[in-house]
Amino acid sequence: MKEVKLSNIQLGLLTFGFLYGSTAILNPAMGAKRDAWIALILGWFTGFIFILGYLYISKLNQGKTLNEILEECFGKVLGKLAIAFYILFFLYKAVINIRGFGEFMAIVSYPETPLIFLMSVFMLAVIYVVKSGLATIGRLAEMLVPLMPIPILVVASSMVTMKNYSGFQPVLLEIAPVIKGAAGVVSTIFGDFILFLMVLPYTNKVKGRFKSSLLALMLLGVLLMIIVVRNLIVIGPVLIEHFIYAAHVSAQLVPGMNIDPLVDVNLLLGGGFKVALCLYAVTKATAELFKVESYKPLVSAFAVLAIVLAFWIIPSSIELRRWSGSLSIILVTIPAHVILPLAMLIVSIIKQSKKRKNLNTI
Amino acid sequence: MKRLFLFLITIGILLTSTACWNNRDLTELSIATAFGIDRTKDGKTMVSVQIVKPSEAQAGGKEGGGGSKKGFVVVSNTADTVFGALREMLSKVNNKIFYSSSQIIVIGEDAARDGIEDFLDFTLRDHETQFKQLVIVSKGVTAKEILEQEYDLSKVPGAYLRDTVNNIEARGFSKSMMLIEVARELATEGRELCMGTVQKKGTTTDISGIAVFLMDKLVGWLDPFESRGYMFVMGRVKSTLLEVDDPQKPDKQVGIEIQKTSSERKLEWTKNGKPSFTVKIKVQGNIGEQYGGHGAMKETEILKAVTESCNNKIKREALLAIRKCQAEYKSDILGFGMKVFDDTPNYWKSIRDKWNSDFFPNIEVNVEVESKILRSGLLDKPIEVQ
Amino acid sequence: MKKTKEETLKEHIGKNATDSKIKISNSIDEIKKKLEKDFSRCSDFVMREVEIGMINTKVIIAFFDGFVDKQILSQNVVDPIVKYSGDNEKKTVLELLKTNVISSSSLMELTTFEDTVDSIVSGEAVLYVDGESKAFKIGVKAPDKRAVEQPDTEITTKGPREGFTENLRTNTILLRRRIRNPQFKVESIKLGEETKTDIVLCYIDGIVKHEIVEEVKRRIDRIKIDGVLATGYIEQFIQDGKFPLFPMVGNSEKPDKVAAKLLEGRVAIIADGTPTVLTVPFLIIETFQIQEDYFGEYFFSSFLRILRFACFMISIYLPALYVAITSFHQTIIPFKLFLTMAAAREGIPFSAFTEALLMIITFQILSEAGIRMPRAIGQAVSIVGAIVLGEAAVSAGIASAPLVIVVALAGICSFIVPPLMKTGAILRFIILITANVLGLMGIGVASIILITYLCNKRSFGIPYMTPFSPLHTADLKDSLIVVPMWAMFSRPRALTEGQDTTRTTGKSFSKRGK
Repeated sequence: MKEVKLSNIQLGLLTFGFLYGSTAILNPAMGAKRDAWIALILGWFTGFIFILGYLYISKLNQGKTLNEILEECFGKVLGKLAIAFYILFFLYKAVINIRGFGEFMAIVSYPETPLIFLMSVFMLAVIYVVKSGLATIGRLAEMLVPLMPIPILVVASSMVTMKNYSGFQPVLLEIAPVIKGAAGVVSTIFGDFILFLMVLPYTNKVKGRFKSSLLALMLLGVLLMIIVVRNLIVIGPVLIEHFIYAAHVSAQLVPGMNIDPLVDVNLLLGGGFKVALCLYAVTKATAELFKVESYKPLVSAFAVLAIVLAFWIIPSSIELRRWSGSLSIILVTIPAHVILPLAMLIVSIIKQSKKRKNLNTI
Repeated sequence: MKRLFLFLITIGILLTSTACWNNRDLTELSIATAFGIDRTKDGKTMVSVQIVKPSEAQAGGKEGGGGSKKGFVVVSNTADTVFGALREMLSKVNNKIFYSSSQIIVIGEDAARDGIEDFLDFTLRDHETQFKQLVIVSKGVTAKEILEQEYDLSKVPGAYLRDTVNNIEARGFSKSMMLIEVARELATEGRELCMGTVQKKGTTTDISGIAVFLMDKLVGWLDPFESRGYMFVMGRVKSTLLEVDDPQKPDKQVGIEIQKTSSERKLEWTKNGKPSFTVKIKVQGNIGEQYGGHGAMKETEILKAVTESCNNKIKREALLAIRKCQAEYKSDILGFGMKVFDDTPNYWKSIRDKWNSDFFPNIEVNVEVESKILRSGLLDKPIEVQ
Repeated sequence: MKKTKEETLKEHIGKNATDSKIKISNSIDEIKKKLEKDFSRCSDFVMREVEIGMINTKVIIAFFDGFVDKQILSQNVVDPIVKYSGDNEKKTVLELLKTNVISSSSLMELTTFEDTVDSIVSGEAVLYVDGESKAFKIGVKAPDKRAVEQPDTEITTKGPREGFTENLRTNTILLRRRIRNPQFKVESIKLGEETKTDIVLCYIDGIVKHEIVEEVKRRIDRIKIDGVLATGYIEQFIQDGKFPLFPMVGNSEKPDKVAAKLLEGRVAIIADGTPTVLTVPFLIIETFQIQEDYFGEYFFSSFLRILRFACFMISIYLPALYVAITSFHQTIIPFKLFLTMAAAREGIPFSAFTEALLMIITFQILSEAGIRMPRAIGQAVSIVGAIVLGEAAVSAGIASAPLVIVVALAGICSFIVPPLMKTGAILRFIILITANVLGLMGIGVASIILITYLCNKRSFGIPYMTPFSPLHTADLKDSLIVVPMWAMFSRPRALTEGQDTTRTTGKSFSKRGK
């Protein structure tokens, strides 16, 4: 059943692409304005601990998917409930992201094109990717993820000549936005690594797993830092909260050329990975829950469902902005990112030690 | 087979659904090269757009200005809002106006005196406007008149004006501002907005001097030398020509080509707890011209004397600018407040509202200049007339 | 009036078709009758009846006129038989013929009638002996073949110039001359119900993965087809996927190239009658590889590799980018160029997309005409046609000059990577359409689907995008860059996993240096 084999490089790149995906256009750390970099570091550290925890869960439950771990930890009924919760959670993530990226394209480049068309075209590619299977997604990551940081670096390096470094001081005037920004970073970026419990069983080596995912995490931290610092320098802390898409604005400000449409399209790559993996997790978990042989027939159905939900849950772009700026977007993720994984971790550790005891007594 | 059929149908739909939505051909665009914003007497907004005719503009370029026809038209329209005026402009123009190609926004003096915040929102909100386009204030004339100005050297006035503004880099007598910078200075605490000005002079336009704003309203002007003083204080002078007296021949002058400047400011507290500033300006330059040349500039004393007068001149200009802002306009365009904010955010909070009216006009500012003269061009010494 | 396949078959080869394992008859007369019946209305069929000199046993020699070398046949077979003066020294007639009489070097015993007919149609002479249920196949095939020439399709300026011919044996010899090693295996298969074409599989034991050889054999065995007139027939049956957009099987006419592929662990398929040899598995990187890349000047070779790749990209993306940028993202164009392009487009009645579509189709027509026309005229068509049509279209105000440049550049670039020429033409259209619908985003989505498609593809179990994805760092030495030969330490890992992967130790170089 678990024949798909991802190499460690693929796992690392997939981690990178997936985690980077959601921040490509909206960075929650930016809410902290001039202290965004502090929020980022804080969030990154917390995220690091979270991801270590998730990796440890998968290490304790070698070769088991999220479904199997949940059922084993919480029993049949509760486990199934937890699985259903996670399915909804991943679906929610897919919905938020698909709508977010659809709005992004509609606002920056295609205001006259119907949103449903933009989202469907985007989804078409995602469906094809997900249907191709996890092995192909891994290979795709090898081809595409290295392309993702390129425009970021190009834009950032073209700004090196800018001398306006003001705007980082004074540090930590207000604590609350920094904490909120950090929490946002964890809940929209690093916490989502929980999804990789669906992917980790399909890697071909257990050994380098920690190393490759953590290396990806390091590089991601560096890249996010570059983005935050670049935005602060180029746009300035006072304007940054006024622009919805800081990445687009700073791409427009590259001196001498207008490459913003190219950068915008590249940002979509990240969103593609995010939505694709969410969709994969949703369908795979559903297929395992209902003991369906293959998840592939479910993909198109769930993709359509995601688009419908995207219109149903979020009536307008302004509503989406209000939602993603509010505290509730962070609170929603707590059960999925913190409570359930913590429970899983504790139960797994207890079971593990029991097993060991049994072995010892025998 | 089914898949192939589906594929063909999709392609068919895609082909028929083209030419709508955002697909606009180049020929369906009115290419705007400059915007002008004026305030009419009855308080409405008049937006003028300079639209170029590409073939005319191109023909002019190719044949060295041979075409006699004007390469552009200026269309204006009056409405309550900027976007309203622009949309209604389509009643006078056949093709949709393409904003992204706009090179410069000219704000009329009256409009600027009324406050520019009204106009800024559209330009920042619309996805087509470019944040990199320049913004400038017209002095003594309406923006429309500036847009209507024809130039002998170019058939695309917007681009001509843009290039002239960019020449500030070599002159230092004005300030070039991009749209994003305008927004940023407006939103920044402890620093008021200022930007370059454009005037009409004879058959052409002239860009010198700075328009000083308080909040978003125009309050006055700095003349070219004060402007350069301001630019020195801000460390924004890329290059300029400084004319100082020749120590060997006081009635003649030496032109120093300034190549590199930087400035640093230090916040100090006076005995009664008021902030005071020391601005340190560092300048590097070459001898560009020795007008009515006399004697080589080799002697240490002479060089010292030139450097000294360089220092004095820069200091005088800088102080002129600072005094004028303090005394006359009460507008902290120099960003001293920002420094206070950076260093002592809590103190700043208590004085924020009174900064421009009470504190800034009275703060003490010292200017220290350190110039260095490095080269003397190709000549070792001037030619001596025998 | 329609006949089923089997009926037709019966009519052609008689009853034997249904009962193929029929023994060769003892009676020479019966054989004669059978042959006459099977080969009725074959004017080029020759049946020569002779008696062995002293023994008076009748034999029949059957062959196709022109197919065999008659001189050799009479020298080595007919003459010795007729002039045989010894007697039957305790041996059977067959033994006698085999050991004492026939002086031909290639001789094989056949037992079934079916086999003898097969041998005759494939150009051998068959000798039937009265009173024996066995026959001889005598290899006297006429050396009727084209000389070994430089192939027109793959021109080289440096290195070997030999090319494969239509003759199977010549081709295998060309390969064996290069790989003088018993490990170089040449397995023979017959294919084609009617044509019975000889096919050989070549590979080097010890380098090639056994799974690949097995897979190739399995796929070839599956083929049921009337005739194999060219390797292209086989190609379509053994390739992965029913409608592959990209070439999935390698084609070459150059023995040195095929030998190199064999040394990298690939399998070559040669069919009699085609100078084009197939190599599998085929990876996308091979489309950018040219044999000359390995003959020194690796800096330049690497540069050319990258150039070829860039050209392929230009050829499929440039028209689409032009349309996307001029109709969606005009902001990208620098201001001055923007004015120039707007001036050029002024007064043109079509949208950029329609214009591009028309010009691309025109270009495709011109290039096809250039290839199919007799050579002397072809030149005229391509050059005059391109210049006249492009110039006229611009001055008539139907197409804008920038677009003509774009399409011409894209078209010329597509010729640089010949294996992908046809793929490129299709992709250019598809991407152009997506660009017209959603601009750069359309191009982006199309590219992602394209890359996914490529990542999905496998050729005989090897992922098509190897060595890029999955990443084989060791194999990158011969991808977009080429390292010098002494640094190509290993054979492609993906192809030779589990086998001996050492290609060179690189030591020979440093020793010589001392």
